[in-house]
Amino acid sequence: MRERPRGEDESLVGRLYDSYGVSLYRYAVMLLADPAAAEDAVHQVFAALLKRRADLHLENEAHYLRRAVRNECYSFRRRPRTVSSQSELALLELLPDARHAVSPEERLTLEQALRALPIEQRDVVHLHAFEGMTLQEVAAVCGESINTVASRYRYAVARLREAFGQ
Amino acid sequence: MHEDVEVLLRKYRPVSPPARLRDRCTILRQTRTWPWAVACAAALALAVTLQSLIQGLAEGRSLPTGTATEREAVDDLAEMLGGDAEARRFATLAVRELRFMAKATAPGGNPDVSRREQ
Repeated sequence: MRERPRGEDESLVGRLYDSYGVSLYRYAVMLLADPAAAEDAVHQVFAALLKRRADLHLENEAHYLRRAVRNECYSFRRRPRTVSSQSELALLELLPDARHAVSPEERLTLEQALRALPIEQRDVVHLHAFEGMTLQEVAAVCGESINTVASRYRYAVARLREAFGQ
Repeated sequence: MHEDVEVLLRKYRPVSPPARLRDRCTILRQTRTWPWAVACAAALALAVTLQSLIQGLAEGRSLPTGTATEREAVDDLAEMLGGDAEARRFATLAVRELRFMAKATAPGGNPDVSRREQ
């Protein structure tokens, strides 16, 4: 198999980052509840791609990259680590077209509640609420049954509501 | 009264990445890291060469430290490690160290070696 020049690999990977990098980072932020760790996780995935000199052909790029980031984040969670002070960086930003002003306290309460969720519940909340996937699609990404992801989403929303006294 | 949390979630998204992330993800850094497989191969080659030298000394042969032999060993090892200047420096040091180790571990010593040491 032909080994491409390094510059060619970098531009191929650049195209993948431009297409998927932002959404992958956002996914990692929600999984890890830590923007700095999310940056490292996404970097690890793309660094591995850069090292695959001979073959960068991906059957389904979006699916492959999302799965790689997901695996990297779950692995990261299993490693022994110290809690970084950077884990208190903001997790959320307001959508550009959000019509109503929201108070900083509301955002902070929501972020705190999200941080308190288990990674599996944040996973489902992100894919369903932020990426707009159906629960069927979420089940496929997570490799779980639809009943499992539906339960996780229900429990997550219940805990988020508790944080707001609902 | 707060909006329902599901409505609230739809106003937000996770934060965007910092600009530096693109460079981190798309540029292969030229930092010197020895691929582990190459490092293992180099260690194995050194071990085999050392064993051969020690065996030769035990059989009474002179230590083959001729300049041409050492140059060949340096060339082979440097090529295995990437062939650049840093690889050659490492290879030179490694072969010299190997020679000293071979002398030090030679059973009973070798008159040729003793003379060279003087």
